[in-house]
Amino acid sequence: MSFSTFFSNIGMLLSRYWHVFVLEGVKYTLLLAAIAVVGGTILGALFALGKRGKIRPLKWLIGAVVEVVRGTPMLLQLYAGVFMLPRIFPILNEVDDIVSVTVVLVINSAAYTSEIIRSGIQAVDIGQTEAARSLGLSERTTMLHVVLPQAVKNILPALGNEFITVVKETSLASTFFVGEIMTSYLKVKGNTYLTLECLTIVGAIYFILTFTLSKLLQRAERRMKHA
Amino acid sequence: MKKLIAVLLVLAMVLSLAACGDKEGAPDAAYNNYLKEIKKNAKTDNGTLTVAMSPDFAPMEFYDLGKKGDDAIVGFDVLLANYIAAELGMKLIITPMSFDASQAAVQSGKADIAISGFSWMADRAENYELTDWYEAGDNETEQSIIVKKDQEGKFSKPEDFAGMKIGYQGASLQQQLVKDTFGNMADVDISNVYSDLGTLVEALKSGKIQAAAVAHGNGEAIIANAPNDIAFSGFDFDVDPLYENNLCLIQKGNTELLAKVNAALAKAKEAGLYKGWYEACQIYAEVKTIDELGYDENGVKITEAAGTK
Repeated sequence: MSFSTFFSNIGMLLSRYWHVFVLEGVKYTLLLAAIAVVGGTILGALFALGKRGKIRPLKWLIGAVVEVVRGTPMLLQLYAGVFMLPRIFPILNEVDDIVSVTVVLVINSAAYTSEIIRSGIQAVDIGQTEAARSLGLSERTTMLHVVLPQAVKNILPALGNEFITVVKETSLASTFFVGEIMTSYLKVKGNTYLTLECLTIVGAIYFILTFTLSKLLQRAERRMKHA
Repeated sequence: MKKLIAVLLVLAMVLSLAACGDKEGAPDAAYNNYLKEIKKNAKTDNGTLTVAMSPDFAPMEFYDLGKKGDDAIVGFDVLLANYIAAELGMKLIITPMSFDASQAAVQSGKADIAISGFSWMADRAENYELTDWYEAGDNETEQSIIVKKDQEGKFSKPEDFAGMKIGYQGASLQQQLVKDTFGNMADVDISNVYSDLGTLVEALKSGKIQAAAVAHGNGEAIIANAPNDIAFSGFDFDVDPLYENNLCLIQKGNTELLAKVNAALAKAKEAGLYKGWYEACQIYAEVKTIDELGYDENGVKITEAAGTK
């Protein structure tokens, strides 16, 4: 196969299937990633706080979830989410697979984010807490207004890394044809059998997405530095 | 620099060609006629029939990327699924997923039935209720080997492949056929397993392997998209009748549904529907033209040769 065939195939695929790759694929990838990142960060923060809290069973439960999620492949979690969650919650049978997939993505992202947040909280010098408490601030206020702001600043690079990982991990959801970019790849490849060409297009799209995201995060980091 | 300009020129040319060279006469006309015929008097008051399939397997099941939503999944198995649902008086829901997942979906009860070009296999017979056979044209009955274009048609017997590497998709019928045919020939390398047809084709294009075993219908679709790179070798496998046809997977123990589906399959076979469906899908997947198969531009068969039924 010559390079000119390769590139002309890419041109043909792009002109014919532009809407599949960009309109559909990018839309669903961004949607999935956004929900996973926002949901994961909120749930992850709750996990981190719960793990530092005083309720024993809750601590164990969160610990178990985090360890299982981090210790098993994402693909396996997706299978479990799509085929086993509806057995526990029959309501999920009524909705599209994309809901189960999103739930799994959020929990997965939360597990990693909670560990990042925990490390960020632990990295804030204990003296800060002691000072705030001896000044008469409540435990809650200390956490919300003294510790967490400093923690967030510290963990931003690690968090950004996690966000980018989430964008890429949404690709595994293509096992269930939910419509993100990797599903576009499967659809077009299934029609044309032009695997490498499709993968090149898809790779370029993922790179543009993650590169933009990382630039945005860098900007946020710089702002934080001045704060 | 010169090369870059050449590449850009080619790109521009192809873009303009692709823009104006789009099809005369709708390739989906015949398909739509068959689908309309099936849906004509269909009732949907017996609940829903959830079908799992892996739509990356033209012309059996694939996406019409110009269509939106549920109508976008098309192909022979989609017609069959519609037919079965109509016979059962049920509303059809097609859930697309990977080939592996579609089997898991039936096992877990998430889907009632998997229709995705499955062949008979001993392990499948053990773990699922298998329906009776249906014939999708020559897709399964003919099993072929594809090679690089410059070796087109040079092969007629297994010995012609001496010294070559032959690839196939894992856990497929072709894997079985390659092992049966070439297993005792020391000078043929048959250790080349690929996860899907797409990667298999890339391996052939890049020269990692020199030959690839595929179902004939898939081979046609592959060649249609790489006419300058790939061609049929001229060698076809001897296929055991056991493997020749496709069947559907149903959850183990659900013999009630099995009996109903088998009755629907028997009726479709009796009515001789499969051949027309398969032809319509070949046209749809653009591996055959309406002229070759004798359809007019409205998708109606014109050259119904006497006495072929």
